Amino acid sequence: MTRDHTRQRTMIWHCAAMLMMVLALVVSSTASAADNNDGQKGQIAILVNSLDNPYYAAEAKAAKRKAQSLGYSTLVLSHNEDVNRQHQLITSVVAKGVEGIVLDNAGSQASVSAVRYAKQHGVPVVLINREIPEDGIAIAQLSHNNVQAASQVAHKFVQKLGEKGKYVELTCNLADNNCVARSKAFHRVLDQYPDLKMVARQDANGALLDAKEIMDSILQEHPDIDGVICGNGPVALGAIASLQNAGKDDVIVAGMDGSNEEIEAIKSGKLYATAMLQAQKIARVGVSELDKYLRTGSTGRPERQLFRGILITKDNADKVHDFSYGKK
Amino acid sequence: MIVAARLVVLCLVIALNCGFALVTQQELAKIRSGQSKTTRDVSSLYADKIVPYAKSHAHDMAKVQKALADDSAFDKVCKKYGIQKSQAFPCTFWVSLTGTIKQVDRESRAGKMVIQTADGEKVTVLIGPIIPGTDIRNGYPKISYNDFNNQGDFANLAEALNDEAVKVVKAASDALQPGKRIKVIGAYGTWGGPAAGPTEVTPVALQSPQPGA
Repeated sequence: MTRDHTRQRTMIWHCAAMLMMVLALVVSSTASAADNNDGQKGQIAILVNSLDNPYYAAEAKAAKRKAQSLGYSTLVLSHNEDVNRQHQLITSVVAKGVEGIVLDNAGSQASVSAVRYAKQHGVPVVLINREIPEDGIAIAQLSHNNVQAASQVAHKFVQKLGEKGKYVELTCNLADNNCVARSKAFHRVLDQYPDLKMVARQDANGALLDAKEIMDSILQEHPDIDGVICGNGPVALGAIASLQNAGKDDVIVAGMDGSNEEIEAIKSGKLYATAMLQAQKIARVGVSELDKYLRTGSTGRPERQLFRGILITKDNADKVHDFSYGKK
Repeated sequence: MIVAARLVVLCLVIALNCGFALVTQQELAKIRSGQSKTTRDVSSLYADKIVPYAKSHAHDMAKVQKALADDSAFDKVCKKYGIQKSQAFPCTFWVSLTGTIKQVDRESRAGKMVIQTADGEKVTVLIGPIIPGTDIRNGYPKISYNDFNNQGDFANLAEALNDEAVKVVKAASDALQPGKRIKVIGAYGTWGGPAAGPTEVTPVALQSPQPGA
């Protein structure tokens, strides 16, 4: 009995603590991110990964602008790739009575239940950037064609290497399906060239500092590499930092994402190629489709929709700004 | 389960397009065990559906290029001569061109040949064995991403179709010599005409033209 009581009390404390945390989060986020100027059509919650990552920040910003232009107030939150936190945030915004949610989710399989929770409570969810493996729960799943974009980057990379040499692959984060798809697409291309040898392959957690450290240690063992192909932008920038540090300016680096920092690296010749993911466009379309669904009961589009990644080299780098591509 | 379900969809799509019977349980078991019938299905899809479609929808390359030269009219030109399945895919033109082979580059595994047409224009045709791009798939309007809903499976189809094109090139390899004349029917995918990147055609049919053609 005593043990049960203790456990019960601990659980209550846990629940209370969690509730407080969520409340605090919602209140602070509301204070910082909600916009009360507009909102005659209600509020839309925009949930993305870390806002420190320029890709997610661009998504959140574009979604917020679009929602406000359509007459919604917005609530921008980040789950920092933590599925528990994502669940708490979704529960809390549903309780708050938002009209709908635009979500770049925290993990494919683990996000199914969070999206289902919102649906069951009458709150439609549009997924952007990352898909979930089930149909019919989200009202739309908008993703980049990672396979196509990564294939294009790989073809460009192999061409620049003269179809031969030693290379390193730094994957972005193999817990993220998009990173897995990119890596597979890289190999779909690179493995067809017998004179091209991968001498090391490591996961860099999608982060610049991790990539730099990993590259530092790979260079110890393989100082004679010709190229590094990277699963996302921060990882490419980390690899470049390491190579620069080691005085290896002639190693060909390719990445994926297309942040402003990568574009600068392309212009200065440190990064050879990347694919720009259309963060702003995918977010805007996501909000538009959510709005259409709220007005008419249907997005009028198939659930799964693709967006292209745009191959970027020195030739067209000046057309990219804040994950948006257009004429200069 | 999802992968299996998508494989079934893939086979259904291909089977329906080819007028084949739907897959039986045994065939499904074969597919699951990796002894896929898909390759044969893609061959049929290519030969029985896509090549005839390409031939009947091909426009003279010179005409397409002339229309594309004015890039402000790209969407209009795409609508008139090309196929664009959604904003995620480039506009793909089925083109036909006849000319003299100027250059054959087999050094690269992504081999190319350059053909000079009667009006002096030079066009690059991809000859493999590696063909980058997904133009053949993108140019066939009866297969869409939503038949797959899986980027990897959709890419596999494009690759298998490119492999069929490589077979066509191999079969014609004696004719692919500098100085010889050739007729090419192929797919040219682009996001905005010559300004948006190199003009490269993925062939689906190659033949020596009739004398005087």
